[in-house]
Amino acid sequence: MLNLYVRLLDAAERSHLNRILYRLMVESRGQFRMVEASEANAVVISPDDPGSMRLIDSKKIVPIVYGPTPVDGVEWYIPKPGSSSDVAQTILGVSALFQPQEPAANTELSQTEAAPPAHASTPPRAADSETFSLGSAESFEYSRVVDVLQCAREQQQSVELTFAGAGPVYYLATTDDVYGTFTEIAGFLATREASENTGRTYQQRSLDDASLRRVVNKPNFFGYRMESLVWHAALALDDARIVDTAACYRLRRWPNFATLTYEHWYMKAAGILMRSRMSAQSLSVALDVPLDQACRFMSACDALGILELAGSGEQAGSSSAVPVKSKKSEKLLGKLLKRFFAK
Amino acid sequence: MTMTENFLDLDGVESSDIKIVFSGPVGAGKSQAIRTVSDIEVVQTDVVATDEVQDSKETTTVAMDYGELQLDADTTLALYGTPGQERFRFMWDILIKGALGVVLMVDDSAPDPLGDLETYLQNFSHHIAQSTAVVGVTHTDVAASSGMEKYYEYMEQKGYFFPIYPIDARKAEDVNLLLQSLTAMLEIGG
Repeated sequence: MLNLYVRLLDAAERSHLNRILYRLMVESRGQFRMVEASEANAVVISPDDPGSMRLIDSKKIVPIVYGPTPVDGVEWYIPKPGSSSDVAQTILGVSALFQPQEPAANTELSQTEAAPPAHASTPPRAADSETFSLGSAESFEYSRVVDVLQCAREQQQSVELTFAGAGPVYYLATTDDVYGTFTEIAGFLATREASENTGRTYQQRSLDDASLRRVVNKPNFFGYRMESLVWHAALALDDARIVDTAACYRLRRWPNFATLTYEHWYMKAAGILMRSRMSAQSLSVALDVPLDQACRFMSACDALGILELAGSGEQAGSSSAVPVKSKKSEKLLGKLLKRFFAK
Repeated sequence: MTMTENFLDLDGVESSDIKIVFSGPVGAGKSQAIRTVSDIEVVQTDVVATDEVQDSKETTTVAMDYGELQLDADTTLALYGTPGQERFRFMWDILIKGALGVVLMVDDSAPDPLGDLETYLQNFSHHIAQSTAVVGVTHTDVAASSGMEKYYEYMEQKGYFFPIYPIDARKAEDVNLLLQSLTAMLEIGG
């Protein structure tokens, strides 16, 4: 049986997993069918149509579970959410299992929400398309769409995303821009509405850049930096990705506030996380900001791929990391702040 | 070293001494950045370029640029720009003394911008360790530019945690971003 078993514990892990699954889909050129299992906390990815697996060596598909679990002499694991590098390594490893296929000019993928098990309810596929079923209610939460876009970005793959009842949004890999009408782009950012609409579906189609450039060359279309899009979305999400508020993280790179919207405390947070490992809880205390905002900031950094889980054994920063300044120092800093941050 | 130990002692800074230094190689946009945000007409010591610089610009700074930002009625923040050529290096040490921080500017269209950045970070390393720095990368919009990725990788590899941004020295919001970041770094201890 050609299954990948993944045990999911919470929404964050599901979101995390989705990035990996998407990469698998792309790597296998859409030769996968994913079905949410009826088990409460498991996802089974299995071939719906034997024909769709024609390019995949079935012997090389192995179960994936948390932790190094030997299966037929092979160990695979999905790292916990929050570690971009681990994710990348895992994806590279898993992807290496598949025989690469020559890229199709227009490989159409469509994703449709359906109740599990979905084998019987899935519409027939066209020869050049693939339907994926993801059963849970949060399948099409905005965070997931952002994940899909983020993965397309990592793959440097231009894609078209079409939502039910809305026009398409395009991601152009060469320029790292997202294109759409104002309404569609705004819809991306309307996270609350999206997450409440559990019946949303979206279609996804891979395009070559030349085709995409022609498509987006419309007067009512405008480009939106991909980086800004995922940043905005992560900051606006009701459910931040960084759910373990005690886990320590650090920033690998300074966020590009030249193009990202920011608040004064984001800069301080970035400065602290660049130098020391810190949890969302400690960051919240250190900067005197609500915990959920600290989580969202860290989630936004994670969405950009610049946040990493602190390694074990490394000393984490504490809420006392921000030095106590004398009144004179505070007075001077107050003047600088008034000058540079006053609206 | 803890952040507290690393923190620039602002107590020792007199109102008349408050300054930020803009430094970087020739043509990086230091003079322009100061002109962009200064509240006063910038005092410049430009002369007609007669050395190797004359191919890239008509005049060059030989001593310093000087601008000011009025923080309040009693407090003025001085903005000093260092000359870019290495032969005026002695001026760097003079100007940097007591500065709140350093704004390093690098021309991305130069032959070796990472080498330039390394040179200046090394040169000011002692002062930066006691205060803080931000990096502005200019001319990222020209054809020869290869983008910011190499800078991010460089900063990550070298373990530099300073803010770094692509900027246009002619835009006040870009220069202000550098100054905001510098201030935020000072708030958390440099």
